Amino acid sequence: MRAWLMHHRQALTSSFAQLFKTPFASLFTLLAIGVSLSLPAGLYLLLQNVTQIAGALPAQTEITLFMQNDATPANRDEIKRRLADIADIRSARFVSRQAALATLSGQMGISDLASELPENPLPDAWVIIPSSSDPAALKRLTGNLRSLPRVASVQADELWAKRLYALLALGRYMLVMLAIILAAALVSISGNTIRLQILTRHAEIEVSRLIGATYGYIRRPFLYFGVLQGLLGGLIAWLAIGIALMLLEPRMAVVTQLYASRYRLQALSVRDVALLLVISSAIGWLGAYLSVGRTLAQIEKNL
Amino acid sequence: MIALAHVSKRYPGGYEALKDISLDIAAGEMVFLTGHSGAGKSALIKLIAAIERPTGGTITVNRQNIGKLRRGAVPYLRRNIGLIFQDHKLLFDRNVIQNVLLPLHIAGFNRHDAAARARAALDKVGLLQREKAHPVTLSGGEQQRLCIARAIVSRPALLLADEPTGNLDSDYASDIMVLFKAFNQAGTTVVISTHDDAAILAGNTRTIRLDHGSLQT
Repeated sequence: MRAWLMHHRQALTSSFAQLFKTPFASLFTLLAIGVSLSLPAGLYLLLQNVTQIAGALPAQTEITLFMQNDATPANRDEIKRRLADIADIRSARFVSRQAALATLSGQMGISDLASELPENPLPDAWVIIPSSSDPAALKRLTGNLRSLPRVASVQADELWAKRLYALLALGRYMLVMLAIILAAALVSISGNTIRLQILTRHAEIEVSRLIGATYGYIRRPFLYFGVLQGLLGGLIAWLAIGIALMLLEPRMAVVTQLYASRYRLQALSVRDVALLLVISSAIGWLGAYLSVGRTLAQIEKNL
Repeated sequence: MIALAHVSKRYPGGYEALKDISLDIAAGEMVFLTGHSGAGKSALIKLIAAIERPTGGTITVNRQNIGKLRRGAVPYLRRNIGLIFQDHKLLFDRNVIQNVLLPLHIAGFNRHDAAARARAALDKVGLLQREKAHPVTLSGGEQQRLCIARAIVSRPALLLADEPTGNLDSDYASDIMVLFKAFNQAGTTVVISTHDDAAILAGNTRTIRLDHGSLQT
């Protein structure tokens, strides 16, 4: 047990020593890993922010509820009461047929549209803002509204929400694809640096095998090196994203101010960072594992 | 210690390095393995150290059947064998004592015990004064003695030396032979492959002669 712990400690210190033995080469490899990791991590953060913004955008989804032409003020009051009972509604505004006509004539530039028409063709309407822009919730809400008495039609302006959610889903899909491609690239970067290291330590490995080193003993420092390399690469990615956020924050403030919003860019959460580091270490380990297996088998054959 | 029964070794491509070898080497014995180059001396050493496996017959080292040894068990067999190579196989990226410490690190000795043992081994081969030197700065004979120190540091029951004096002039070579005799007197089984007749004629040590892969009596 003590020997085992000692071997692990030796492997770890030897990995650090290897890293500092060739500081520039190590730095470049770490930067390559870090930058590659920061791409999917950054995209993930972007999507996270867009999703947040989409949820927080004010007054974007509107549902217009048109009443039948023969609806009376009593009907209108009933609808008002019923709307107050529906939980998914953030606010509801009544637009009378007269007000609607006045607005329309104003927009069309005809000053006295009302007097030209034999009667007002516009119905009374409610403009309803739902509390959530989630497509499923919207669908449920419009169904509810249609079942109210004296309602002629319900128009949900849900297309944009559908589009946004479809785009976000597409973005997530692309994120997964990008992540898989870059993970493969990182496994090979990690594997390749470790292959080079094994080749430079060829003599040591050969002698160690001849004087009774187990396969695990030989492999251990390289696996540690892989994990260490991945972990440091992950830290660099985290740092890169942090710097990017810091640079973006003032620009974002200008934009949000124009939109009269208080939105602040979200940074990676503790959970996200932990996940990033675990994944990057795992990738480093995998590259090392694959590379060590192959390269040691070659050395073993030529013993 | 070592028992071979009808052992043969054929390499891919058909070259037969050893043909039907049967012999016994008892614990505590010292044996010379001789023959022309290509006679199969190295092949036999490699089989005993489980670096290669026989293609026929059985070979038993330390009561373990080499042909049937699990891959995972090979390192533990080797820890009980001190291997000495003609080309020394020293590591030039570390100093003398670090070379000797390597087997002890592998076997998991703690730092303190390992250093004491390494110094004792260096003392036996007369290199204690050079412990901080780098192997490149050593002479050929000193390098070979360092290789021997590394082989004996974990106090193996068996020493296998493949042409240990092959690159050395005769003064150095006889020094090395004296060392081997000393280890043998301390109870270690010693097998030395050599084509140096002077070393063999010097004493009445048992000699196994190989000729084109066959035992010569």
